Amino acid sequence: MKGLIAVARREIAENRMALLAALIAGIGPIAVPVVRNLHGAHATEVRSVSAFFGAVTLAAGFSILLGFQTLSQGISDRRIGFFFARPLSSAAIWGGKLAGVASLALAAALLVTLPAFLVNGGNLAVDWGWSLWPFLALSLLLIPLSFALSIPIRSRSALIGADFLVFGLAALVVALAARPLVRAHATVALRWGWIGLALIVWLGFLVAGYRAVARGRTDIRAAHRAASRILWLFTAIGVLGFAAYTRFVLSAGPEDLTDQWGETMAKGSWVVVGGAARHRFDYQPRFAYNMESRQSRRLPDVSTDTRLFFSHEAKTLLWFEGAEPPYELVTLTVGRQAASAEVRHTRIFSSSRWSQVALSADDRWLALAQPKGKEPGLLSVYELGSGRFLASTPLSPLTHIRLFFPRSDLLRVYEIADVPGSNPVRIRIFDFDWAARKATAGGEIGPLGTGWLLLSPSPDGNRLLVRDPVKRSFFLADGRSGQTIAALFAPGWKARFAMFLSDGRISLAETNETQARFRILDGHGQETPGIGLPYAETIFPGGEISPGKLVVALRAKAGVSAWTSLLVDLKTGGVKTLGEGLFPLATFSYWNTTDPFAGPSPGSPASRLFFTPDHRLVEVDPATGVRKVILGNG
Amino acid sequence: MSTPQETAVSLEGLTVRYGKSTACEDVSLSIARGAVYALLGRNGAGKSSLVRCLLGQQKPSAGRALLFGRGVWSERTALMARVGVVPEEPDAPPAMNALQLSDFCRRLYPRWNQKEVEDRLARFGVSVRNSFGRLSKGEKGEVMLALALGHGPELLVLDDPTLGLDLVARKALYEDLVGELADRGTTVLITTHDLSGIEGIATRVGILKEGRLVLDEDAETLKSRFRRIRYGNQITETRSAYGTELDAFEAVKVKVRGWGVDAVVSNYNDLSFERFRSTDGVVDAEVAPMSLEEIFLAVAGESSAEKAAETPIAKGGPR
Repeated sequence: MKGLIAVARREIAENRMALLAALIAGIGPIAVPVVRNLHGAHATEVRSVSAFFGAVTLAAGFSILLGFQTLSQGISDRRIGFFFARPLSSAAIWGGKLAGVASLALAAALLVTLPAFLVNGGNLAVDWGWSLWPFLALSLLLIPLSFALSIPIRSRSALIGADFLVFGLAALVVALAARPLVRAHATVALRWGWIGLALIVWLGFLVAGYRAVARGRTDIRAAHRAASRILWLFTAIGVLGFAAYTRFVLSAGPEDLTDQWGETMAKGSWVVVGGAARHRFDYQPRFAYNMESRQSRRLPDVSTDTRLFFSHEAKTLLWFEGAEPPYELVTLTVGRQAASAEVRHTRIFSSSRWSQVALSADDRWLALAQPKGKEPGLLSVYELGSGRFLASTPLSPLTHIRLFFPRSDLLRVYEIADVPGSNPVRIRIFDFDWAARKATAGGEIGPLGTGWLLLSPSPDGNRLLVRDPVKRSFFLADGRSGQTIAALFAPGWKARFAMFLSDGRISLAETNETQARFRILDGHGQETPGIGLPYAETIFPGGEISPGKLVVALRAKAGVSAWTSLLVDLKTGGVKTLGEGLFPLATFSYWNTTDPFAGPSPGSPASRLFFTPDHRLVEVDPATGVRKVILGNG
Repeated sequence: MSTPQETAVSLEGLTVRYGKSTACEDVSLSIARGAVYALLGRNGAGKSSLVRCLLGQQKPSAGRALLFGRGVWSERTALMARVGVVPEEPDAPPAMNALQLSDFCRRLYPRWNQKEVEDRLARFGVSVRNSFGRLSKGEKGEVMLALALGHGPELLVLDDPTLGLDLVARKALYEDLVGELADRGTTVLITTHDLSGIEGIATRVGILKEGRLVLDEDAETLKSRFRRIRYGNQITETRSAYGTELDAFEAVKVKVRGWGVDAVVSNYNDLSFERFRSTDGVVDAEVAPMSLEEIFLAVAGESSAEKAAETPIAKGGPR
C-alpha cells in the first residue's frame, strides 16, 4: 500500500497542472450568467448546470485521456522501467498510476464546480435533482477501460486483428442472444443483461490492464498478449453468461408465471396464459396450456401485443407473426390433449397486426378485415388449409370491423363508422358471399353516442345485443337488419353486461346503489323470472360451468382480492358462492370481442378455472368448492 | 562453481526472442558477489534485453535469471530492494526534480540515505531544482547513479551509463563507482562501449556477439592470454596467404599487411612465442599486450555477415 500511495502521489504531482487548468475552467460556469446578463435564481441555475456538465465532462475527459496516456505510454517507451527497477509490486505500479489518474480526474471535476459553488452560496443543486457523484463515479470507470484499450493500440502488433475478430464475434453472439428479448420488448430484463455483460467486460478490462502491467512490464507486446488473453477470457465469460442469461429468461415456463393477468383465454381444455414470470423482470411469456395433459406450447410473448384467436372448437390457434408489415398469419394446431410441434405459416398476410380475423365453425374459411384508416379497407376470405385467396370486398374508410361466421357459408360483417371527434356512431351490417363475390347490405344501427360500444351477436347471427354507450343500456336488435327488437333498459338500474346463453336465452346483469340482479330474457327479449344477487359495484360474466349454470364475478369495492365468484343456477335461481377472491379465467375471453363463440363451451374444463389473489390459477370443483392448483406458485 | 550465497547474478540458458528475431540465445553466466562484470557487445548484441531480463522487467522466452539465488521474474519486488539500476536511457519521470525523485525513492527503500544522495548530487554539480526532463544527458545519468546508490545496493546494474556523457562526466561516474566499490564491495554489472573507462575496474568480462555469449572470463586472465603478434613472413610467396607458423596459437584475427602479418591470438604464452619466433621464415616478430578495447574489437568487431562478406584468407595457402 505504501508503494501504491507513493506512485499515486507522484502521478498527481506530475500532472498537477491539470488541476490548475480545472480551476481556471471553473470560471466558465460563473461567467456564463454574466455574459448572458442573467440574474437571481435563473443565474444560479445556469451556474449550477454549467458547473455540473463541466465537472462531468472534465472527469470523463481526464479519465479517458490520462487513462490512455499514463501507463501504456510508459510501457511502450519503457520509461515504466524506472518503477520496475524499484521495490514496487506490479499491483502498486498499476494501482498507484490508476489511483493517481482517478484522484486527478475527481479533483479536477470538483475544482471546476468550486467557483460556481462559492458564488451560489454553497448550493450546486440542479433543478432536475441529479446528483453529481454517480456521474463522476461512472466517469472514473472509464480509466481502466481507456488504459486497457491503449495497450493494443500502442503495441501495433498483429494481435490487434485477433482482438477485433474476438470482439466482432462477441458482438454477433450478443446481438443474436439479445434479439429475442428485444423482440419481446423486455427492456428491463435486457437492461439487467446489459449491465451484467458490461460489468463482466469492464472487470475484464480492469484485470487485463493489471495483467498487462504485471506480465508485460516493460515489453508492450508482451503486455498486449497478456491483456488480450484476459480480455478474450472475460469477453467469452461475459458473452456466454449473457447468452445463458437470455436463455434463462426465455426459458420461463407456465409454472414460472407469477402474474397471469397479462393475457388469458380459455377454450376447451386449453388456456392461454401469459404475464410476469419469476426472476424474469419484465419479460412476459405466453403459453397455450392444456390443463388436462399439462402440456404447454410457447406463443408470442405478451409484450409483442400479438392477438390470438381460437377456432370454435379450440382445434386451432391463430396469430399474426412478424416484426414489421406484412404480418403473416400462422396457425398452431391444438388437439384435445397436445399441441402440434409445428407452427404452420399460412402465406396469408396482413398489413396490420390489428386486423380482425374470423374463422368458420369448421375451421375451413378465414375472413380477414384490414381497415386502412382514411383509405378504404379490404375484407378478404381465404381457405385456411391451403392459404388460397377466394374473394375480397372493400371496406369503408375510418371504420372498425367486427365479423363472424354465423354459418359456414355466411360471413356477417359489422362496419362501425367511427370518425374521430365525430358523433354519432353508425353500424352498417352486411353479409359477404365469397363464392358469389358479393356483399349484400343488411341494415344499419344508430345513430349511437361514442363510448364503450359492445356488440354481442347470437351464435346463429339472428339477433344482436348492443350496448348504447350514451344510455349505458342494452337493446336487442335483429342480427341482419339491425331493427330494434326490444329495449332492455330498466329504470334505476345500470346494465353491466349482457350475453347469450348456450340455450339461446339472454342474461343481463344489472346493479343499482344497493343491490345487483340477473335478468333472464328469452330470445325475443321477453322477461322471465330474474335472480337477485348481493350488492356489487362491478359484475362480470365468467362462462357457463355447465349448461344453465353461469359463473359471475362480483366486486363490492375496489381491489383485486375483493372479487367473489358465484355460481348462478339460471333454472332454479339458486346462487352459490364458489370462493372469495376468485376471478374466472373465462371472463377475459369475453372482453372486447364480438365472437359469439368466445369463452369456454359449457362444461369444458376451462370454465372451472379461476385466478386467486396470489396469482395462482386454480380449478374449482363447483360441487365441493375444492381448489386444485393448475399453475403458479404465487 | 560458486554457491547461491556467493553468486549475485546467475543466468541459465537465457533466451530472448522478438517474433522471429533472437536477441539473446542460450546465455548462461554467473557473477560472484563483489565482482565487477563488464558485459560488452556491439549495438544490437542483446545487452539491453539481457539486462531487462536480469532486472525482472522482461520475461525471457526461455531460461531464467536469478539474483542472489532467487528467480527475479517472480520475486522482483523483494529483489529490487537490493539492486540499484542506471538504465541506458534515463527513465525517471521528467516533471520531477532530483530532490523529488530522491524523496520518492526514500519512501520505497528502508535504508535510503538522503544525505548521501544529496551529497553525491552536489559533488556531481547537478542542479537539484531543475526538473529531470530539463537536465542534460550527463546530468540525467548522474542523477540516476545517485538514485541507484542511495540505498546502498548489493548489486549495481549499469546499462551503458556513459552513453552520451562527456569526458568529465565519465570520469566522475567511474570515480564514484570505484569509491562505492571500495566502500561497500558492491557487485557491479556494467554494459558499456567505454572500454577504456572500465579497463581498471572490471574483474570479469563477458562479450555478447549476435545474442550469444562468446566470451566470459576473468579480466586478468583474458588480458594475459590475448596478444597482438606482428612479424614479417619470408615463407609465403603471396601476400594473401600465410603459412603454418601460427599453428601453435589460436589466431582470432589475422591481417596480412605490406610489411608482414598482424595477428591477434587468444592463447598466448611466452614459451609458444619463443618457438614461433624461431620458426623458419618468421622475421622481426614482436608481441604486444592488448587493451580490453582491442580484445573486444578482435572478438566482436565483425558480425557473421560482415565476416562472410570478406575475402577469406586461406590458412596454409599455396607456397
